[in-house]
Amino acid sequence: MSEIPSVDLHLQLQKSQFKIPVEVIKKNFKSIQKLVEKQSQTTNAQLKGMSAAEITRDQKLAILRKMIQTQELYQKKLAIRVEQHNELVSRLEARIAKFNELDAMKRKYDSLEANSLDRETLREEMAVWYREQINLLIAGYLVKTSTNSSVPSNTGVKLARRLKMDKLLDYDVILQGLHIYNEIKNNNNLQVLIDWCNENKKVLKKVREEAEVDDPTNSATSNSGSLDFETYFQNFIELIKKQHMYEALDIARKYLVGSVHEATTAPSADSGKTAEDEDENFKKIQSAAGLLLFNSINIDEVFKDFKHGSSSEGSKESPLAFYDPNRAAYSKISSNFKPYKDLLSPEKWETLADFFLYNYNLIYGIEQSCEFLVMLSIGISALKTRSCLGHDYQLKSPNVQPAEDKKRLLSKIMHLEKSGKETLTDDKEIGFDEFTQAAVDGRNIETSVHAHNNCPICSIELFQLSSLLPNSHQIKSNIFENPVKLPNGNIYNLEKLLKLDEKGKTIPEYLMFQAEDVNQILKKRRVDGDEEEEDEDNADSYSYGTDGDSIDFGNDDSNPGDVNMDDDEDDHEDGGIANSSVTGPARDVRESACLKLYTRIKDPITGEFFGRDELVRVYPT
Amino acid sequence: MSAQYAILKEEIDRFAANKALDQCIGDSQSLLDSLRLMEASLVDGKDVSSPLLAKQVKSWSDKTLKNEKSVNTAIKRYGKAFDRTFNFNYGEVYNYKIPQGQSNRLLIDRAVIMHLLRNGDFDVAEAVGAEDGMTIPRSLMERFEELHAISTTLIKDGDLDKAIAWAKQNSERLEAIGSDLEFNLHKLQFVKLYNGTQDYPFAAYSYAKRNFPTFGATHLETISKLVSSILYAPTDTDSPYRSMTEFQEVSFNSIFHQLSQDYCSLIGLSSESPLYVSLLTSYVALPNFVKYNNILKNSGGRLDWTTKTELPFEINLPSELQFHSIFICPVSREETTLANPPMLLPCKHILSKDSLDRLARSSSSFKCPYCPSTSLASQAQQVNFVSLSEYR
Repeated sequence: MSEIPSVDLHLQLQKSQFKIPVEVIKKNFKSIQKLVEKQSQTTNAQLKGMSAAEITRDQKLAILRKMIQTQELYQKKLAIRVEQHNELVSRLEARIAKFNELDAMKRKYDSLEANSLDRETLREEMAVWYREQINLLIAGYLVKTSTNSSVPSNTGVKLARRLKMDKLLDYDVILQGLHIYNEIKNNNNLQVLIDWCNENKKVLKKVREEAEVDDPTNSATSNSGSLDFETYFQNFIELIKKQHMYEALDIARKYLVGSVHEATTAPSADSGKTAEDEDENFKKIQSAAGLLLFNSINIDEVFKDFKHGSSSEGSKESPLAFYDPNRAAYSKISSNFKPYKDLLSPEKWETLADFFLYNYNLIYGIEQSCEFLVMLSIGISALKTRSCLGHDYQLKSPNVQPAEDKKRLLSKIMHLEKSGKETLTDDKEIGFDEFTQAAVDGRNIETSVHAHNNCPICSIELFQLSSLLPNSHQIKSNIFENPVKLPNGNIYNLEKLLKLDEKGKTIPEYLMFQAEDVNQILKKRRVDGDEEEEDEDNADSYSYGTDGDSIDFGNDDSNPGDVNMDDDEDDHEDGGIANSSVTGPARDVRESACLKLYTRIKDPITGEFFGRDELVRVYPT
Repeated sequence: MSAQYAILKEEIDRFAANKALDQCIGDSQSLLDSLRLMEASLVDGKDVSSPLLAKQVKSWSDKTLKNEKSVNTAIKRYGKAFDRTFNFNYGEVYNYKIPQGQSNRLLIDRAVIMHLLRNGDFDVAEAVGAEDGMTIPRSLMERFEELHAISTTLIKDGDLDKAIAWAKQNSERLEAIGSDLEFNLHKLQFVKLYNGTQDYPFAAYSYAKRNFPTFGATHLETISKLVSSILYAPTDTDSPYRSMTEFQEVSFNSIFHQLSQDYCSLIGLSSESPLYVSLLTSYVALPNFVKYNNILKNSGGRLDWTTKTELPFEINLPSELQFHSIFICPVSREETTLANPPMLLPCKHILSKDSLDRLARSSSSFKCPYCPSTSLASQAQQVNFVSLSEYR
């Protein structure tokens, strides 16, 4: 079954599900190793005391009791670690179990006959599986984007718990990173970052090396040096800002210059890469060293005497301002100072926070890009056609007037496509008004039940976002069978049009005709011409029929040269009815019911009524 | 077929089966037990042998190290299996992601909130809205709360009354969108009564008598079969109506699904969550993206996207995921658009407007590219394909 992707593909999409727990397991295991090692040392030392030559029984007892105490403590700590280990392993099990479900369903599906009832039931079961995956994607998105990085109030965690998907999401790990990220970005908390760097020094180095081998072009890895360098660099800058010059120099000596020195003296066994990095770092240190001086000068203070007229708002400037030599000097000097200002700017914290998160995600195998957004973008592009968005407006309808704001949005979208901008609306405009409007309009059944379709791209939810993404690639026409046109230009599938027709819906089941039957009956009726005077429309439409504009109902004697004749149908003549199982009085009932019902056709979208003979069969291909 | 899955499953099973760490606790416990025994001996006034103690400590240490090593190996082994299994990269699968930015973020969150409301996750929906400073209007919430109340009684309690009451109340509007929901609910209720009660024929029969006549005009055939089924016992496997009257738990889920779709249609929303449909589509479309990226990589940079406004490859979506009629002009091979709509010629053949203009440029009348008839540009009519399956 081509439409259900392989289990392997689904597995690939959950890469981080199978990575994150193991990275934590590794960390946890290292702690266990340390714990065991320490306990081993302590015990052996105690043992030595026990086997000393001169030792009383009381002393022995004391040592033994001490041993018991430390062993108990060790065992308690160990049990906690082991419990954590087992919990993490159980995540892996819960996750692979989801794929077992899919695998079993897919196998069963493939073994069943196409279109069998069991297959339909199975499709519903699969839909449940997909629904869960999709909710998981959404929960993952919320975990990462919620402004709340504490576990109980994070919206993603709330959703995951509600849907009982806790085991499928490593929100604890993700949120720990986001907590540090927010500390750096919002509270300029450097200590938490320094602690984290110290804790993860080795892993950080290893993971970064691997990442560079895997993906040497990744800008995030090559743009900045190592995270610990960036961290101490920021530390250095902050100390300067506070005018703590000695401490700043101390940091520089201990952590910054050291890393440059290491690299230049160490033989660059691992290619020129690190040497380049360190070179970059050296430049940074040089520029920052300037800060030691710069920060003691307040530039605005220095220039205050000749600064007038050079205010940031240029509008009030005198036209002769450019003669002012002071002004030129000011702008020249201030441009020289720009790199320093950048170093001191608060945005640098944001860059540092981003860089931390990149490294954190790298260590724990958390996806750098948001899975939900990637998948949503793919889905939207795959669904988006050139008929989307503008759909409502193509329908020429007297009853359905698209809401004013939707019209406005459409023109915006068209403008946007030309300008290539990336956003569409002001924040103010985003709310739920359109939804409540839809819900209110929805009460008025005549005007809007058909005024929307089920295309997700055309939906209120997604159509603005969709306008920012490429269209799908269409190379084949995809038009329904038996297309017929109404005078207003709307083309429908004949059978569906008749079925959806307001009167068509009340046709008793036993009177339901195939469209061909209808054609046959209408044809017969036209030949007989009995009931013609009953309906005025018919008198007119008969003449339409003869000039070849009307849909061909098999009336071969009306226009032998008609190009849109369906020859097959002509051959049947009256045979269509004669062959059908319904004969005698039942046939008469069917016929008369049918004739009454199909004299007028309603456009289901616009609500306009047309005579049945105004239907025109068209030939799109 | 699923080679990677099979490998990973085996490795996870193996990894989970490794209980060496639990044994470390056991090792410690047995050392503790010996230590306590010795303590008791000392208290009793007996002496303990230091070499014996040393031996026990060593035994603990050896066992623990052995178990530790076993876990270490298991972790490494899993790591290797992981590296062999996974090669997918979210970062490179699709270049054109929804751009970041505050207003896009709000639009996405709004779509998420609507999805959550449809699912009945009201608390989470409100929390997401609160973080973004968006208030969900009470009137909108109430709509979904009503739907959720119906769903709870339907799915959790297997009680159809609320759903039937709602369908009855909205009977006309449901009929207008061509929905069979009301009848299907009655049908399910009938089947439930037929299967569920001691005096099955009478309860089901009287229910049928009360409720089915309204639908006589539209569903007579089904009704007659249902009523005839009363002649057979619900357990009678020979009943010719068994497939219709067999009671299945899953029926409640599928009827709720239908109800939820109709409900959303009636409140002016698409019947299925747009977020759900889009993400479902992405699973179907993804293999095309992966394949394209592989070709792109292997081409060594010689291939590139020809246009940024369109994907460079075709995706065949199943019919449930096609929502529009696509008309490709048979002359220009271009998809028709708002600006370049399909035009109907008097001979009933259809071209795009651009093609028509090109044909009609040289002379006032032109020959149809598909048949011998000639027409004037002024005779062409703009048309619009409406696939009724787009609508409910």
